[in-house]
Amino acid sequence: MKIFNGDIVYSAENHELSLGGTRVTYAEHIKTHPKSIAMVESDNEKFLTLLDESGLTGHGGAHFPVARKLRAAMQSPPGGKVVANAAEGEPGSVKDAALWQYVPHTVLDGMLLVAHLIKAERLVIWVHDEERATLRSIADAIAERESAGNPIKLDILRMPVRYTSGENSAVIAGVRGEAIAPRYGLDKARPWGVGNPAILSHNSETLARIAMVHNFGREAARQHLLSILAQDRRIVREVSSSETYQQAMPEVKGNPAILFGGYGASWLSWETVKHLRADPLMLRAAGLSFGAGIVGALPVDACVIEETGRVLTWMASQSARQCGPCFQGLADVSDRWNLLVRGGMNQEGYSILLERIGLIPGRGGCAHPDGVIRLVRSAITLFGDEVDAHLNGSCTLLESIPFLPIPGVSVMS
Amino acid sequence: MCAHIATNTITLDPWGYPILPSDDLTENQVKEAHKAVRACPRRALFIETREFED
Repeated sequence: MKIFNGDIVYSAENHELSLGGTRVTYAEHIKTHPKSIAMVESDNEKFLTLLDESGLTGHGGAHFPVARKLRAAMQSPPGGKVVANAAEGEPGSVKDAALWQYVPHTVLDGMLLVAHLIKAERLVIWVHDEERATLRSIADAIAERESAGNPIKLDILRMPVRYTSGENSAVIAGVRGEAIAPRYGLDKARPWGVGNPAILSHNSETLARIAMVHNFGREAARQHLLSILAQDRRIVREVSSSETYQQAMPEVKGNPAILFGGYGASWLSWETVKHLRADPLMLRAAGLSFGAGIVGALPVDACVIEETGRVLTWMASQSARQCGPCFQGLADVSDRWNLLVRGGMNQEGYSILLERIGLIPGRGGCAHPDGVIRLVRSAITLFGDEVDAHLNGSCTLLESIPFLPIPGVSVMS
Repeated sequence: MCAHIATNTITLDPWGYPILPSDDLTENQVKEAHKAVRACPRRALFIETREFED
């Protein structure tokens, strides 16, 4: 059972999402989602088993099984909080914005369901300050529920934009009023601390899927949102676990490099990706990651080494600056990589770069540097020819129009 | 500081941060490792002990 009827297009030009259709109001929502009002009827255990069997995973990127995460939270004392993570810090991702702007009540239902299960007292939405269209839609949703006699109480936390501030432990810290930066050494199953009421944060799409499973059964967990990157647009497309990427994206031709998952994920070739199924669990079994669902086919006239450099530079700047190997290491590797991009690096310099890349993973307090290095390594592994071309100073593709979205940098074309 | 104290155990990366051994410590390393743990002003180090069946 899908959430959307078709693609949603985000136009980079006017910074707007457009859909062949309109936003679903509360009145319309409860017509098609009959279980919206009656929460988990009798049996928490029955619903959890359903979620277990559905195989639903967290759609923030890590794809941890949702039922397992919920069960752990249910063991904590009552009185905690459910947080909808609407930060959507991945620059290419627009799926969560699409959910909040078109089907806010589906996400809200998911929040209410989780709150019921873990006996939470507050519902919190964690959102970036500048997401005006999302904030408007949420305000309207509150008003609609109020008019219908079903008011909902939401704490809306408007956060400054930073990539690492959407990370789970950073969100929990922020909700507590502490510094918004990832924490390390936390119990993964209970990051809010054993003995404390849960502060349970879920990605917005995860919450929507929880509500969909509640209404429509386990098959609803087999749909996932992709954010497809195109030159001047981003497309939110809902695909099924049983579809291959070729079926999901018939418009891709040739064998472009694919940014697969997000900026902390991997480059892959389309030859590899096209046969894969858009199934987070299967991808994990194959040693890959669905990530945030970002899929970007690099145009033929773009340079993968240059694009990697742009991402690396930006991701280095997004370090929470808590750990030396991350904020210093990424900055150093970024400088060296950009030398490679410009053709100013020789073989010896490249050996040093490789050595330094190897010194970063596993030495930060969170997974931010590991993700970045994963992306860089995938470029090195897959595009050795391009690296060589740069070492010989002979890449002809530089200065083409940048492709991957980098916040704060708009491209005039 | 720790790299200067535990010269056989801890080295510094190019950015001045300690690289800790991933393997178990040898007998020679244990004593200086304890010194490093005590000396760290950020209390960032700790020694992890594992039991082995003989």
